Amino acid sequence: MGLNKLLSKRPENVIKKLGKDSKICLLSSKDIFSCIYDLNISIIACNTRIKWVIPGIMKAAKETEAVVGFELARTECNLEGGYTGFTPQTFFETLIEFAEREKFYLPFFIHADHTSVRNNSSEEIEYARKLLKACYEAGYTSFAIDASHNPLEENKRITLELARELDNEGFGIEVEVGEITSSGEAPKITEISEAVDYISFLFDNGLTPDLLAINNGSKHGNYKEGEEIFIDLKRTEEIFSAMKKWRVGIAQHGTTGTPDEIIKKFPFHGIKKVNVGTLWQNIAHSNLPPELFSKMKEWSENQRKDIKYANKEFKKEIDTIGKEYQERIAYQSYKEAIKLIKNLCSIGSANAVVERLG
Amino acid sequence: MKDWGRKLSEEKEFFSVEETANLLKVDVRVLQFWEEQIPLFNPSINEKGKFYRKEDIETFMKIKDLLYKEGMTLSGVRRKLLQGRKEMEGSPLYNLLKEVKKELLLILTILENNDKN
Repeated sequence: MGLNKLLSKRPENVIKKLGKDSKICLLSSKDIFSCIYDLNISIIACNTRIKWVIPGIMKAAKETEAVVGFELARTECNLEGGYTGFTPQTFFETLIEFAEREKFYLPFFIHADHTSVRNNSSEEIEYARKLLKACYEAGYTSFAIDASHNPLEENKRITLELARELDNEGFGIEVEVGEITSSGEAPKITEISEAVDYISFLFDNGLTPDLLAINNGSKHGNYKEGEEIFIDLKRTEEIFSAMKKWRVGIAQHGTTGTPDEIIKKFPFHGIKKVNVGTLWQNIAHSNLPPELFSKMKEWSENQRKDIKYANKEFKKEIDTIGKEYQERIAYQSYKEAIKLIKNLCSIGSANAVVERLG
Repeated sequence: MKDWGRKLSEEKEFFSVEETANLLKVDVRVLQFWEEQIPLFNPSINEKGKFYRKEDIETFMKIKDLLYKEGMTLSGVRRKLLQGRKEMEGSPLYNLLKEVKKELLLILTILENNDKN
């Protein structure tokens, strides 16, 4: 593999953090997604809310020569620690520590998932700007601007304003149209015309996003019992085809709970990035020391909050669990990551990147 | 490493895919990928399925060591192992051993035929 040549493609902010001699191949997701655009490959992007899943995912990627991404959304990781207790700085450091430990030297990216801007107030936009800057300074190589909660015209304006500088520097950019809902809420499937209007506006104004997140029916979080799982792959592919001239791929959100038969179809419908978050959390939670997990459950019931919020509350205890629990979590994550990598035709995807870039 | 050593020193000649995966602590899909990527394996396939030989297990172990101890990528491992095989095949000792093996197999066939008669 021309990995040495690939190392020279690492962005400046990464070299500044890791030093030139580091073998960690942290690349801009723009480079990665441009390499796989013409291939039927989907890359997993893992929201690793609990750190012990990371080595299992890295091991799976290493053994199958697959590209992977690691990410956390604004709600999960922010300047105050989000609901995972991670800040961009500590998230980056944790990933690099595991990459060194696992001798993980394949191309990967670190992504600021859902940098959401919920309204057009100057405070909200300013906070998003600060968070993006912190992610950039921490060493992230990929950024998602999510202003999809706003009317389309506002979404366009906010996306353009926040993404331009990062795009100019060659970082991967993901944008969103059609807000992705949580489990239990009714989806509003993104229209083709809406997606084309949005993307053409961005390109006309000099922005070159690599990925578009749409609402195609998937949900964030665990599906409620009996809730129907529906992903409109026909619409997904139609949107992908309508954006061909801009070479923009689809980012699939809310994958946890999706049957394997549907996941296997993703690479053939224009989906280039597949976000997986709750699955890793479920693996970690089910392999924590039982007394710790009972305490977390009790806390979430008393607080009437989703169990995900207990991750921050109990972070210290989670981060110091015994080795046998760490290994169990890593092993389960490894098995699930291998399955996803295989189902998404991503085995050997690192070679595709090296062949084209290295 | 201790586990590998113990299992391999047993009398067993063949290992099922599941046994191999457990021994190496890798997923069965990984074994399949490595086998495709590095054409140095010679498993036995019969109606009961695929069975790796001791030498195959040793090759898998070598791959794992190079990945995790040396920090190589799988492509690097492939290059190293295939190069090693090429060099070995070109050596006079290898050719001599190949001839010896051929002779021994011939003797074995003769002895087996004698037994039958």
